[in-house]
Amino acid sequence: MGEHIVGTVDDVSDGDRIIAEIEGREIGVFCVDGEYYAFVNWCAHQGGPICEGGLAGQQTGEFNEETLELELEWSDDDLAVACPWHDWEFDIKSGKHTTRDDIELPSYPVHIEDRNIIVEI
Amino acid sequence: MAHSSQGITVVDNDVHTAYRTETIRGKIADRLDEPYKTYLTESNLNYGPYPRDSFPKAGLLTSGGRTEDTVAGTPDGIQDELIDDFGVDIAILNSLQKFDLIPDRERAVREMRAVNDVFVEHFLDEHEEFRGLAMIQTQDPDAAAEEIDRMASEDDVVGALILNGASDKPLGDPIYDVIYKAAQDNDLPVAYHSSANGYTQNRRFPFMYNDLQTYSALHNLAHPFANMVTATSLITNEVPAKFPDLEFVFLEMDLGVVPLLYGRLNREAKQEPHEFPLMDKAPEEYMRDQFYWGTQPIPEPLDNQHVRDVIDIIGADNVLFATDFPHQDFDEPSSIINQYFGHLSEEDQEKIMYKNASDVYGLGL
Repeated sequence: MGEHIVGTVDDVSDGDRIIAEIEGREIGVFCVDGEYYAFVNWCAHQGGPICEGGLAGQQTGEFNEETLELELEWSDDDLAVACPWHDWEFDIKSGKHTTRDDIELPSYPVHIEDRNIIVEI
Repeated sequence: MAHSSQGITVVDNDVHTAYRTETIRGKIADRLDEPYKTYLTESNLNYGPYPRDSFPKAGLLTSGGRTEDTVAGTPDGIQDELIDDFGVDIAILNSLQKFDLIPDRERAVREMRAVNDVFVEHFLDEHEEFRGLAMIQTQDPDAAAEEIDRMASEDDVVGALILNGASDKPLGDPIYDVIYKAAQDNDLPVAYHSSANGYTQNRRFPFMYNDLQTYSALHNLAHPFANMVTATSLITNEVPAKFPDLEFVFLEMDLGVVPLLYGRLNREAKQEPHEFPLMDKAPEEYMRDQFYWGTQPIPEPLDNQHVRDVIDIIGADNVLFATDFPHQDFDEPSSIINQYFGHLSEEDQEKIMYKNASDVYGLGL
């Protein structure tokens, strides 16, 4: 395992990402609410450039079996990245598919040192 | 209660009862007020009260069983031919009446109640081997829910049946949640069974379907299409997630469509996750947990192994044996076991032939 500087905190604004190549692999590093998340730029579905996809909120729902009312809530607090190829969405914090806990993007630890964004691979 | 002829207990999940006989029509009419009573007793109702297509069907046993002067579809006919001759131990009967094709909603609701009363009294009470599915119209969902509540008190009524392909909306629509709530509250599964002539009468989807011109073409697609629409609507409206204790039974849809539904709906859910806010499992997992599929009509590819492969994909836990007696395309139990289930373990054969049905319908076998 090695540490790799992929840029500085000035290179990526909140809600955006940078994509760097580390040891032949494309790695996307997202900045969300001041936290950094790194994933391989290779969608778990069919290898699409997942880290180049848009970020969007997620919809949750709650069904009341007595009143039969369905309440839907859209939250921009829980962002997901959507693959530009097939729209598979992964939670930006967990790296898991938004409907399938068993599907996950490979992720890597990220930390900041002297304003440098460092990915451990 | 292993039966001698097959060496295995047999529950038949799809048995049709005749309703076009003068006797049955009279019994239904006796329970109706005017003008609804007269609708059933007019001599010009040659085919009973329900709309039909115009295909000539020499030899075909249309829904409701053979018409006058035959015994199949009557209680004694079912006992003689299905129970005694074909070795079925428990027959799950249905009336498959096409209430949803009756333009007059009030008439549909009244006939639903009358038909179910006759169904219980004339068929279910006659023979201890019979259980039944109460036939539910969907034009008035509240009335359907009330009918499920009413029928649930009948010991021999083990589920509710909906004619799919004829409803106003696809059957996962939230307007039908009240029906599913009633079924879940009463611990009754909901079954679906389409109709070739009923489907074309709906004239909603797909429009070209109505121009297929031959009965074989229509029948080939009517049942799988109707059930694919229903299953897709249930999953995309997240009905199994809304009602986690409810089980769904699909009859006469063709086993071949099940792997398609598994794989394709999985893919849709992953691509449009925002459309599935309630589901925390893959569509296939919901279907494997809560959906059951009838065997009839068993597909007939050139190589029987292909059918066995499909059954293996679906898994023995979700397959229910059905004959469709007394219709023309019925499947005979021994022949089906020998040709298509021989590769399965004894335990898996028992699941398909009776144990799954016993669990779904609470038969205590």
